[in-house]
Amino acid sequence: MTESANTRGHVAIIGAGPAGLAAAATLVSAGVRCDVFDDNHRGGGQYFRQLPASFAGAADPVPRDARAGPMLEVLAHPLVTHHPATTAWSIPEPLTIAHAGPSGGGRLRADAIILAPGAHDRPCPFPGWTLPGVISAGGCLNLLKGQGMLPGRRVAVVGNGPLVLVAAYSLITAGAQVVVIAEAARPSRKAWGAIGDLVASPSLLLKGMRYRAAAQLAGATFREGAVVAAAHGDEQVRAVTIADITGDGRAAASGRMTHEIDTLVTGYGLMPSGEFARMLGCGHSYNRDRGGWIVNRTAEFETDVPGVYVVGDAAGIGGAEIALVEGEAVGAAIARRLSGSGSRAAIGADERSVRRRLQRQERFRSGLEQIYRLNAELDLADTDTVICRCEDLTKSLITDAITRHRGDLAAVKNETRASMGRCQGRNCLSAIAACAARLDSQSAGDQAWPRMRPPVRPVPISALLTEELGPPQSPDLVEQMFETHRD
Amino acid sequence: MRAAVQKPLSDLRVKGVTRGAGISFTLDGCVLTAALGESIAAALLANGIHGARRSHRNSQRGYYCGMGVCWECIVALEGKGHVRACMEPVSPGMVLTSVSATPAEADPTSGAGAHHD
Repeated sequence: MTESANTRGHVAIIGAGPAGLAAAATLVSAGVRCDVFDDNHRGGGQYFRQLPASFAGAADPVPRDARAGPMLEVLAHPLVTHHPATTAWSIPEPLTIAHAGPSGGGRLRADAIILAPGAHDRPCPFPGWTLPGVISAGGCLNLLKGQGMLPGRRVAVVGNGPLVLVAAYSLITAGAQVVVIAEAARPSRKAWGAIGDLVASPSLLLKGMRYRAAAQLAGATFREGAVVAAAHGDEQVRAVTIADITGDGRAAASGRMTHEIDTLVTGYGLMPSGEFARMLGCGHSYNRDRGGWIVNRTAEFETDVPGVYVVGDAAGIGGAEIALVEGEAVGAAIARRLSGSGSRAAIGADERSVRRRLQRQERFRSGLEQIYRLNAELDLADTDTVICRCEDLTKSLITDAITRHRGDLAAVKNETRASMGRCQGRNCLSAIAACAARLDSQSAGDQAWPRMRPPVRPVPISALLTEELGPPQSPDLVEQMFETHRD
Repeated sequence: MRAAVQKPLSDLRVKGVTRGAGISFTLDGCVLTAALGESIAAALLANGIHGARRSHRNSQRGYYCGMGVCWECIVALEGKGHVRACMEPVSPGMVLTSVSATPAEADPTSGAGAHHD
């Protein structure tokens, strides 16, 4: 691709959700060229998820953010190249992205890389969670917003955090019957204590209250301090038992009620899609409220690796508002650097206003974290519960391996294949780490995760066959081979 | 290996959304209908099919995360291999097979190593 003499630099962005789109919009307004890599066929990520192009949703009842349309327009900007259905699977050399998509694979080098891959549902294993009809909160919203489809007719929603109410409300507006909502924390009790932070974003606070009221008006039983004890069914979920939560994060014997349902939505939090940062060897700190291990960043969102920035949920769970503002802020910071003003140059008035908005949103987030924080890590799995879904490994098998390997997760992985399946640990590593922490009375923050190797997401070999290979990496080895044969 | 089929519930499609044209595809030889542009996962759900994959220990699995992360919704697509039903749009005449528990299933994205019984 030829460099245009008129552009002021070139940035590669991974992710086309709120953070990625906001970064692109800010960069192109400063004349910077952007390549946006997107796993999905249509831009928007999770929060701005769109219906298929062949659908029309003018009368769609599912709540959507009106900013989606204008934000998505940036993907058609002349300075933006959108790569849909394309997986960025490695950063093999500095500032170079290896990608694979419908027309094959390739590499792209840029002046900076912005990682904005978002988050995914935090796995919270419980008996019966692998039954068809048990879906994650993200999976529920993706079906509603991305396909205009209900997951079922009689739905229970269990979980912890604001997404529980978002999922319940969206289901109700779409025409499903939400039978029961079980929130593990007690946000109502804690709301007054956190009101100072929560009023930092009145619109979001009101939205939460509206969703809760609507759910109760629609006839849903709303429980706080309650968790799923088990999902029941043969080849498909048919019922769910909900119980009070104990002080150590388990399903109590008390408060047990069983509801007949055809769909169970489980939303026990989100965690950053931090695989790229782990692969690059960036420094991380543990923050349970923000989703676990989160990448260390400078004030300008740069990681330990020069030129690699992380924004949005991938840098710590914060929701769409924070993602939008961080995307704008990192775009402004990178544009300033590329313009030659350097990082020591005075930050302009625009950037200061963005920072103020970010601070306000961070205060609101702090309020949410306070009201949804749990006293103990959830412990809902029993010995036969599958922990590693891909390789079908139970809790007893995994805890046995953890004990024998003294908590070394890499050794557990090598012996059992846990986290070596297709999900690459996204649906199991945090639960396995929690098991290890419980066995050793440590907090989960002390559990180092196994190293992440490319590909960051599975890619078919066919997409890589068009990639040009560089010269052999080990010329010395080749020499040795010849010498051995001559002997 | 048959996918888990149950009697379709009353239409799961959200009212107020205008869909693409009706098309048909097959799963394990059964002809099913879908809307052009719909994901395979959504089309299967609309047809009452909640799971098209069996795990290593032969448990029924199905749609879970809806965003291509968990790989629980995989189906075998003729000519392409194992694809995520939630990420792949249906196309007319698509031929799909549900994924069984037997390790002999040829799968280009599966890791190397022993399978459990």
